[in-house]
Amino acid sequence: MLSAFLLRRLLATVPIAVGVATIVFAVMRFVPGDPAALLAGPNASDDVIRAIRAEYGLDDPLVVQYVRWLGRLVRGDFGESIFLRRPVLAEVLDRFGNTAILGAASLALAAAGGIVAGILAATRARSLVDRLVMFLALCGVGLPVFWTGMVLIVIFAVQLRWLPPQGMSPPVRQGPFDIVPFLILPAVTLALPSLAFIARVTRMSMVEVLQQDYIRAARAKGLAGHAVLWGHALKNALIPVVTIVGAQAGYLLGGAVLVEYVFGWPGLGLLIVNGINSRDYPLVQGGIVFTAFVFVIINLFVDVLYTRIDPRIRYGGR
Amino acid sequence: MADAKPTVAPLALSTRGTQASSASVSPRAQAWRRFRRHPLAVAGTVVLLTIVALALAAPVLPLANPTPMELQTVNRLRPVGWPGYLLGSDELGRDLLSRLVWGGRTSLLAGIGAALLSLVPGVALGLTAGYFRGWVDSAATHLIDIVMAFPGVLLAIAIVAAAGPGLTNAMVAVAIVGIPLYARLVRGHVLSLREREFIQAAEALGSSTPRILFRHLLPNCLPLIIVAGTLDVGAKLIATASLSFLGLGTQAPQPDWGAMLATGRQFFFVAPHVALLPGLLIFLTVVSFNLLGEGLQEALDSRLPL
Repeated sequence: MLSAFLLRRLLATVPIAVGVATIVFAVMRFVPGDPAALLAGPNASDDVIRAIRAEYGLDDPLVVQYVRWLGRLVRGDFGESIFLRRPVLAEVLDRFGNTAILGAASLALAAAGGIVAGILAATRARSLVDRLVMFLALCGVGLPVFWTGMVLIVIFAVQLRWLPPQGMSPPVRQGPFDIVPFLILPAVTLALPSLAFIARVTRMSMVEVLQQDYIRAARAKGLAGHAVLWGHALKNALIPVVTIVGAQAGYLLGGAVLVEYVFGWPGLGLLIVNGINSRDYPLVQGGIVFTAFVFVIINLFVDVLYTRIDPRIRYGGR
Repeated sequence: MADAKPTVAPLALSTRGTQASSASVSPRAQAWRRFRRHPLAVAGTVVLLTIVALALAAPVLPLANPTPMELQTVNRLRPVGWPGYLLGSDELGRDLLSRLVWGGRTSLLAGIGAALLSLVPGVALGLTAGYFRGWVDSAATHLIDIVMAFPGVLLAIAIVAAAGPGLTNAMVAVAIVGIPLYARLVRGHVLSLREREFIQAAEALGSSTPRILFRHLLPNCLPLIIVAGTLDVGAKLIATASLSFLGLGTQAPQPDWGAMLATGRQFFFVAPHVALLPGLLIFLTVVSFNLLGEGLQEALDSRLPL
């Protein structure tokens, strides 16, 4: 049952991945602006532009370019970075690990903090605590990460000098854990809006579950308050939260671009922004396609997880 | 934003009149009464109206020139409260208060404009996909799924990187990325509405398709669209400001909150207020839009599948 679903779900990601590659191709080709001129830079002569056009096959018919683009992606060929003079995929893979560390830390923070805050508010529904938590959560959703990052740098790096303001590791590395102080500020910055959003969803879902008959029944048979809460309510309340956490992974991957830029965190996002500034067009294109592919895989993972935790979901006769 | 659940059929504003207790009060008055019950929503609206009014009134307010030709480099990076500079000055000696007010025009326009630019095509797509179903729906759904497979603002960054930086390009890019949000919400809602009696009655009476779409389905989606749109303006404001922050949106010397943050960042350790103030305004504006959106949701229909 599950394996059939898994297979179907896996197959469904193929057209999505092709669609993602197609959109990136279309954006780069149909948006006004000559890619060859973009590659050559603002002061290039017509001859240089023509040479670049020939080198990158930009004179070929679009269909040929498109099929070539897809074919190369399938073989893992994301092109060559102009400025770094090495394959885009190698560079992207080097940097992706750092983004994954930042993203995973943020997601863990956001999920843990959001769920705890949501439960706290839901169990005291309509109290002062509930109102305060929900107001803070509403504010948190509106935080622009590039600003929060700068505020946290001023407070914790410049004023208090507790944490380093920039980078990912000390000049001389002593062990795998010496990145932790560098990780705290960017991870918190990136996590805050997600944390707030998860808190809101958890509260809403928990309040709804707590009104169900089976909760009343559990209470009526004399079960202790915490047993009802953790044993009965939480399990069901968390089902919608899991989907939200999955969607937040995509938000975090996008937000990482800004946070990495603010904190000089050497991840994929910083690579893409630097690529834009240095007009390294294959690098930008490859970085974006790669990130989108990662997100597609995360979504696949969340969907499978979802069927595991919610037995009511059966992707049977679709 | 949460997933739309097509199975939920919330009561729309226009069907509320059936409640016996409120037969004499118009739906609009009821909505206003429900809105007023939320002090935070009212407070957010007041803050928002103030910011919008200041931005609109910028040309008639007694403000310094936000983009003077002659730069006062003597008075650069003055702190808040410096004589002649109420909120200090930036790295070129320009009056920060004036740039914040004028920048508000750009940033608000970018946020509201981008939200409207994704709302209109998104709603149209959702209406047609939900009503016609069949291949139209599956084509639309696939397109939505693909665009949503791009994380966050990344696709917008790609579009602006290819099209070239600028406020208009940034707005359009952010808008394109946001179309699926509306399309999905409206499609889900229409899928449930089209099974209801009033649509079946209209079909049985031989109403034309445009009439069903625009006179029956669209008005019933309005509460959903208004709430989603209000909440989305905040998100779009952050997205366009993000692009400006990365240097891809508004270009110098035009003032814009995101761009001001980016330049202020370079002088952050000497004069943090230059970057902190525009960020604070972005934050305040976004929170106000969210409070307004929440209030509207409570006022129009608390069970909207948002």
